[in-house]
Amino acid sequence: MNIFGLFDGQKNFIKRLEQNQGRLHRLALSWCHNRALAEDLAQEALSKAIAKSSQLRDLESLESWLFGILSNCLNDHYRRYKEALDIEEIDEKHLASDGTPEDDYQQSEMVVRVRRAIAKLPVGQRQVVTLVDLEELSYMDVANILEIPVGTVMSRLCRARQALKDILLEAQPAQAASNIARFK
Amino acid sequence: MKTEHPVSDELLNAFVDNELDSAEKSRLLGLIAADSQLKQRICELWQLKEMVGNAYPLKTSGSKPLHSRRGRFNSPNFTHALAAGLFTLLGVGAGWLLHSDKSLAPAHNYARMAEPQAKESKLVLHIFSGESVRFDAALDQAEELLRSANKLGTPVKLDIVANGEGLRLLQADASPYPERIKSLQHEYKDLNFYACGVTIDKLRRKGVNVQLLPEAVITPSALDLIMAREKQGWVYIQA
Repeated sequence: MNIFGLFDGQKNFIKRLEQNQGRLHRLALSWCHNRALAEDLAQEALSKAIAKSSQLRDLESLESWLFGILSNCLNDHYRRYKEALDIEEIDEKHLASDGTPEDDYQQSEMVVRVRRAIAKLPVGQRQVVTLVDLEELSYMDVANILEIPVGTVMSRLCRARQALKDILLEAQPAQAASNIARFK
Repeated sequence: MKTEHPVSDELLNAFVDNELDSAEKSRLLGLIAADSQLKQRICELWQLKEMVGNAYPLKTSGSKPLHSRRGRFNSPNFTHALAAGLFTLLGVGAGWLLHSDKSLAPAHNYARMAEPQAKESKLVLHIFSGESVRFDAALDQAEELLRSANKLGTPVKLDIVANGEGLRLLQADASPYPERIKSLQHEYKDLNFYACGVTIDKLRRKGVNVQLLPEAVITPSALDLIMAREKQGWVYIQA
């Protein structure tokens, strides 16, 4: 590759990063349900992606690679807070609200209900269900991104959907909220 | 998760996520066809998938999923997925669902595959999302496919089957594209729009007055129709 080829490659890489900013932020929000934190995580993931760009062998796998970095950023964040707060406690505190009241008002009631239901899932289940249903990734891709076996992806997905079903399709809201606490 | 039913939840999840191979799909489809509880569970999983998929709309353009393996219509690979469906049908027989390895293959391969044969191709497009952007992309690409097939002289049958939130596409008072659907139906005789009777019943029980576009035909169950088409060798694509 000549020098111009290298510039082209870098340009394409940056362009693809820019194109994926929205997805990265959306995924971070679906994982942490806190706009400020989601913004920070997405920015951190982008910064790391730029710093590690030489590690990406195939531009076509950029999205999965980025999501993997984002997952690590989230894990790092939880680790940093672990001394002061239990992870589940962080979840409850950060995930209780996904935005301002104005945001809630603008979103449909169903969207708000679904987000709240997702927010009540353990973070591992939340990551799997959003990667599969939001990003439409295969189980294998999700396993690679989260660095877990495919069997774990399947079992987490199963438990996540059962919990969502209990909240969204079957139980009364108050009862569902208590049910979800039993899930891990 | 414990269940009294012999079909595990993991298996049903893998089915709705298009993770099963064709042998597993066929076996499961046989079970689903004979079991209304299984059908119900499948419908619930589709519904949940749709709810999660719609819960976090993208606010910026140009960053939609690129590597969907489910042939979403709004994916840049959708044309390839359709082409794969169209042309693999002409070959040794297509599976129940298109996989990413087909949808990502170079378009010229499909053209090459199509050359030796010129049989009728049949596709069933399943819409269970209520997003207008998906309707838009689906109709765009369906029209492109039908137009291209006409130009090539390749007969194509295309059934668009809507259920769940996707029924909105065919509802007279809610569809964003009534005129377009009318025009497509008028132009392409082998294009059919089916509305799911189960979804309609469910909405009516909730007090919704469901009125369909004149082009929509009610099928008792979207799932039954899709399974019947699959048995007849049609290619299924999820919108």
